[in-house]
Amino acid sequence: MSGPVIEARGLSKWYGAVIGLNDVTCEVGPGITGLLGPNGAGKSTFLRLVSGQLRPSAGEVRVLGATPWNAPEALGRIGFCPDEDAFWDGLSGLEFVTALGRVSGLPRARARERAAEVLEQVGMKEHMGRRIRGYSKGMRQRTKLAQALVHDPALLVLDEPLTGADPVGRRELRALIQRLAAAGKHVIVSSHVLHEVEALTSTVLLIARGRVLAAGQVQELRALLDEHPHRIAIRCDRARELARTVVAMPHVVGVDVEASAVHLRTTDPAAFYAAIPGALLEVGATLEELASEDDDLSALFQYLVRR
Amino acid sequence: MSGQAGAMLAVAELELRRMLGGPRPWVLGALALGVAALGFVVRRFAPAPDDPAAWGFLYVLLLMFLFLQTLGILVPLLHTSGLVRDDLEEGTLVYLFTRPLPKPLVFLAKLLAAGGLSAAILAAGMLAFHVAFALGAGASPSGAGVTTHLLPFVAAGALGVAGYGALFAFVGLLTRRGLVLGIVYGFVSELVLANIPAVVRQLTLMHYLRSVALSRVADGLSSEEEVRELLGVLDLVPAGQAALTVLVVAGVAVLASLVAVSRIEFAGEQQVEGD
Repeated sequence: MSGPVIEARGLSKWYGAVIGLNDVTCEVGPGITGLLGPNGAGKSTFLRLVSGQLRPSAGEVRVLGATPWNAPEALGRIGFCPDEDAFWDGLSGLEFVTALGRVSGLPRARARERAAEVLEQVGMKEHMGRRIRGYSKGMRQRTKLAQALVHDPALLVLDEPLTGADPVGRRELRALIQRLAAAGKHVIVSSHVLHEVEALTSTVLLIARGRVLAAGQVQELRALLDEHPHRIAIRCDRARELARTVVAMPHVVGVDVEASAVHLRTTDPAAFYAAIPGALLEVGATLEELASEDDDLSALFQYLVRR
Repeated sequence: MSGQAGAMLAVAELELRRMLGGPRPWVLGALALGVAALGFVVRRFAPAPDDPAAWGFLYVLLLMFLFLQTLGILVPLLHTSGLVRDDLEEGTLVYLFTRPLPKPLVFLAKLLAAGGLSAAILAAGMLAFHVAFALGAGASPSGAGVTTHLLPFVAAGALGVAGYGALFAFVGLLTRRGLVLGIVYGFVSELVLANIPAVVRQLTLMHYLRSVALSRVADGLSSEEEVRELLGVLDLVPAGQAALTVLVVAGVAVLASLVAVSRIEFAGEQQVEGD
């Protein structure tokens, strides 16, 4: 696969007078991509366009080189795991995944065999014969993931797959998604929980109010923020003295002091990192920790949403 | 079996399981058996008429009003008006519409499953009625009676399922109020218009269904002219023409539905309104 996995050009979706997605142009490459944004940002709209459930109001989206709306062949290469916690009553996990394997075109026997395989893959081997209505939330999430995998798609589109799972379940689901990506699947996974996406991948698409705010590696995104003061925290034993020194630096635009920490904002992180050893020596402070608070995706997201 | 045929069969099986997991087919089946039981009671305990042929008229009357004109509309209405919308509201439609099976084929598979179940309920109910009516008379149900008296009604019931089912499914695709509109259309328009003489009744499906149902009514039951006069259905058309008319209406409604389902956007638990 040489081109992008997902390619959107001027993609918009309107629900009557309400804008769901507004003139989005972006590319999603191989591997895992996190689609990040608050509730109502347009994440689900984007994923529904990608999975062929919605027709673009304007612009175009191509998935693995094809437009997915009313395109069964393209849908055969996409596995969609919905946000909704819905199943047909009375089916076991194995029956559910088998049925959807058959709807995907697999012969009955192969669908059952494949369903058992993917249910085992998602850790549901022990429970696949039980009725879904008796499953825990985490088990239901795994079963939904299994149905998305049953026809062996190249791209997995996962809408909030970790929602509702307990902490252990979340960790296991994250590990599973990473294993799938390592096995060659492309994955786009949405979440409004920043640390979850951060734990999955460093490649993100930030979306809010129907627009893509930024896309790429977290480090690349930070390059977009040159005009934005970077936040840095310094833990040391002479915090007040150090604060007095750094506040005089021309690229430092704000300083807060705690008992043993200085939190500052600088418009030129490179210059600051070059100058800080001298400043520490000047005040005789012993450095305990120096950390960029903007390394946390959460900070980046908050800034971009406000921008 | 080809991939698409197998996929459609899987959709149909899911639809049947969904319907049989709910109360509608069971309530409708119980209603049909109730009508059959009524046939037994009436035949067994009603005072004997002067003319024995009147029993035949009663048989036709009950089949016509309680099965063809009531359950014949109600059963397909309840099974097809929410064909896509029920799955949509339950959140399960997404699993079907994100598969490599064209949406019109998903719809068609669901419609065939719902229509098949509706026709089976009606046919079983009519057969039960036939048996109960014969038992009420103290006779054993005869095979000849089935072919001459019952089969035209069963055929009309199946045609009604095709015609009404296709129409209600189409309306249900276009509006959330498919059930209400179906009730208004089925029980007000179809039954009122169907009883207005001359051209107006020819605009209803019921007119053609009656034509099929009564096509062999003269065979040993009563005078055909007498039955038609009593039922007020004097201007019936030949059964073949009537059946063809119903099938054409059903075909047009199905085609319109297939076009609609490929154009309408369904996402999450709601239908996306037009841009």
